[in-house]
Amino acid sequence: MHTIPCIDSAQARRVLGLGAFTVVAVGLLLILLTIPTPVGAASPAQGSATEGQTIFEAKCAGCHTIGGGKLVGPDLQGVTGLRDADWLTKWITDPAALVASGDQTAVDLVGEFGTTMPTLGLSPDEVASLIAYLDTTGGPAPSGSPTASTAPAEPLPPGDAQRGRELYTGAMRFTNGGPPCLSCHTIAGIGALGGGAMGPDHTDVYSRLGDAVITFPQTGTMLPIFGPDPLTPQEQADLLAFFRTAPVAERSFEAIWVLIGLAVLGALVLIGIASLVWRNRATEPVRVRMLRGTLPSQNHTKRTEG
Amino acid sequence: MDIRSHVSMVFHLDKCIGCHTCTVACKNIWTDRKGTEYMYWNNVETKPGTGYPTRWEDQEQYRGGWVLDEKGGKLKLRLQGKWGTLANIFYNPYLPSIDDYFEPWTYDYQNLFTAPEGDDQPTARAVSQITGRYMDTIEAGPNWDDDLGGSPVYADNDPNLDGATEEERRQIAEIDRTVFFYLPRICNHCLNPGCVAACPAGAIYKRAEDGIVLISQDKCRAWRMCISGCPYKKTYFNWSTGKSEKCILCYPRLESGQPPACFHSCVGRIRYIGLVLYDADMIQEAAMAPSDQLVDAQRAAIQDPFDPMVIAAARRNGIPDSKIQAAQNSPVYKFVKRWGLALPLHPDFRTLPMLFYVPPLGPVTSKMENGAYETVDAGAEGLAPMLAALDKSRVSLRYMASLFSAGNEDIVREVYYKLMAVRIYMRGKTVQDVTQAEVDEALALAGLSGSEAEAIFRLTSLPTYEERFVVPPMERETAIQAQFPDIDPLTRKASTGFGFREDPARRW
Repeated sequence: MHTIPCIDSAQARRVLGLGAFTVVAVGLLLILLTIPTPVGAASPAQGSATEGQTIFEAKCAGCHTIGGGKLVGPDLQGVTGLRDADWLTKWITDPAALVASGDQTAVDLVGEFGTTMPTLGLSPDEVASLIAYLDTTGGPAPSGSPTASTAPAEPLPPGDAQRGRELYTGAMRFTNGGPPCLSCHTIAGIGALGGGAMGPDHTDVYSRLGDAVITFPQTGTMLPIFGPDPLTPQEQADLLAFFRTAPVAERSFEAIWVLIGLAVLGALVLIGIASLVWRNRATEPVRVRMLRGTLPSQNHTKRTEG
Repeated sequence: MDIRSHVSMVFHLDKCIGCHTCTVACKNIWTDRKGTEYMYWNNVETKPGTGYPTRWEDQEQYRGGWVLDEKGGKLKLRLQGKWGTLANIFYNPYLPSIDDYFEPWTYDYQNLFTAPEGDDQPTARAVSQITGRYMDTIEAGPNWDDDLGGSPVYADNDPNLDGATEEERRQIAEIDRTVFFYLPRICNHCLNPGCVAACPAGAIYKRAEDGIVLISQDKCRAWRMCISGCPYKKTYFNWSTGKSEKCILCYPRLESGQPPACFHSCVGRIRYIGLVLYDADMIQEAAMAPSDQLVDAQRAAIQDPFDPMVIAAARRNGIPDSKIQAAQNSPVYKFVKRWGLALPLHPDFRTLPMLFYVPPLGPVTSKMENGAYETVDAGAEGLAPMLAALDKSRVSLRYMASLFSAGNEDIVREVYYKLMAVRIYMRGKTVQDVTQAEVDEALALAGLSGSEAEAIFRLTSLPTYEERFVVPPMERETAIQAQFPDIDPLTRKASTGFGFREDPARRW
């Protein structure tokens, strides 16, 4: 009978423990409910133009300009006047879906620019902000049709491809001190070793983008680098001339063979040095050599048998 | 004068019967683990012979020990210096391979029970303990040339016979008169150890209070330079744990007052252990002595434990009186210093080994004549037969000098004079077929007094357990307190002597 009170008290403790747990759990739930969650408190999409500008510079400026002419995609100045907000929202949120749905505007854009816009993965809020920013840039739509040439406003002086190559590789410095293209990009025709792998390969950049390629230093990615140290028109012309000729020059196989030859030669030299330094490493156990009688330190004056 | 204490050893080779009991005792206690199958911290070799690992004395191949740089007047490791260590750190070219030891094996005993019925008896085939595959031919073992005196392969290839004359080689191998003796070997716990100097990781150390050389299993980085650095090849690499191991002189037994297992189990009672006091300031000088003076220089470094100056210096270094007393009772001190009977093995390696051997008189004098052992030339007068036996001994003095005195035959000859004088003295006393004049002449030649001869006889032939094994009180707590004053010695009380090995904390 002595055990029963023990069981009782244990049960009591268990019940008490359960009660305490419930109180804590309910309290936590209440606290959670009072915290305004972003989803629950979200109002219908409405964005701020400032936020939109940040998004534009980070995600759009690589392909689009506002009033700077056509790049990979169209100039977006006045785009909110051209398309309604609903269409823009759909397009920015998921371009591929819009194309797949057979929307005529979307299909035409793909036909004109040769590629569909990538899905940027923006939230509805961010899309709204972006559209708000595009709205503030306002202004009339670019004159002429979007297919019209959007060559740079000022005509460039005639360029020299050879000088462009030197500027690209860094053999010649940019006047304003910007880094040579080679540090981040590579292109055919600059030797077997190639250039950097950080930015895209420029080998077919001219065939993809045409003359517009030279406006790239003004895009979001490269602006922080070349904004303070812009290219001069002459340098732009030279680079453009180089881009025009570069794709013709394929990467030289001869150079690769020279590289392989040098590598083999270097390996042979290293193996030679190693085998000289470690020429005394034991190849066979002492015991085996002793039994064969080929130890250099073995005394060969054997006794005569019999 | 920097007096320190060292647990030191003497092996009396005249008493060794080559039974390998010491080897088995050690094997069963310490190296029956995975990765240690091939290790024999204690092994018994037949001499002349090539030993284990094969031709370990051949430093042209193995590069163990030290050499005296004549130009710089410096002691250098024969293996390599700093730059050599760096260049060879991932591949030490002078390592003995498993073929130089032997590939350890066991037998497929299960087959004896599970073999199907057949016309032939089932056999237990040899199975490699390293690869687990069957071994069709066993080509080497830890005592492969055991008792193979006169072998044209093993005895003839003993490095100590380099430079022996045709006649000396012929004597060793003569049919019906082949001659050999046994050389039991453990780590010598050297005063100037090559393994410690060669270790790039600083993992090997010599215990300050007793001189036992140990490898820290936590610090060992498996560079294996110690294996090359030790000229006696008494450090071994455990392929399973990736750490080197060696004889620890059974320090857990010593700390509980027992002699090491190989000493305790010795059937011939050839082994003596005791404390000696030495002057650490003399180590460098002793290691750099000219070849023919190496033995004397090492003897000089060992100090008289009865000298008041030495006792005072020992007390200054914190050596307790109990240890000084143990050093005074040490059989090692008597054999090595007082009587000058025990010699270091291969002092020419310049590591100052602290294991000393009394060279064997047996193969030197005894030979079979007309079906009986003759110790002296019958018919000769006085001491002439004894001296003749030395010069005509079948194992030449040159060979013994190569083993025990770096080639100085005079030192070996002096030892043999003493060993013979003790026998002649005791023969005169018990058999009484030797004249007193001859006894006196023999004692005078050996430089011994009658009472000394008596004492040598007693410690050689009739020693008690307590006389052979004077294990000093280890007083680890004193040593710990002296070394690490911050540690409370009582924290070590009743804790295991082995400690607990932790997984190595990788440093790179």
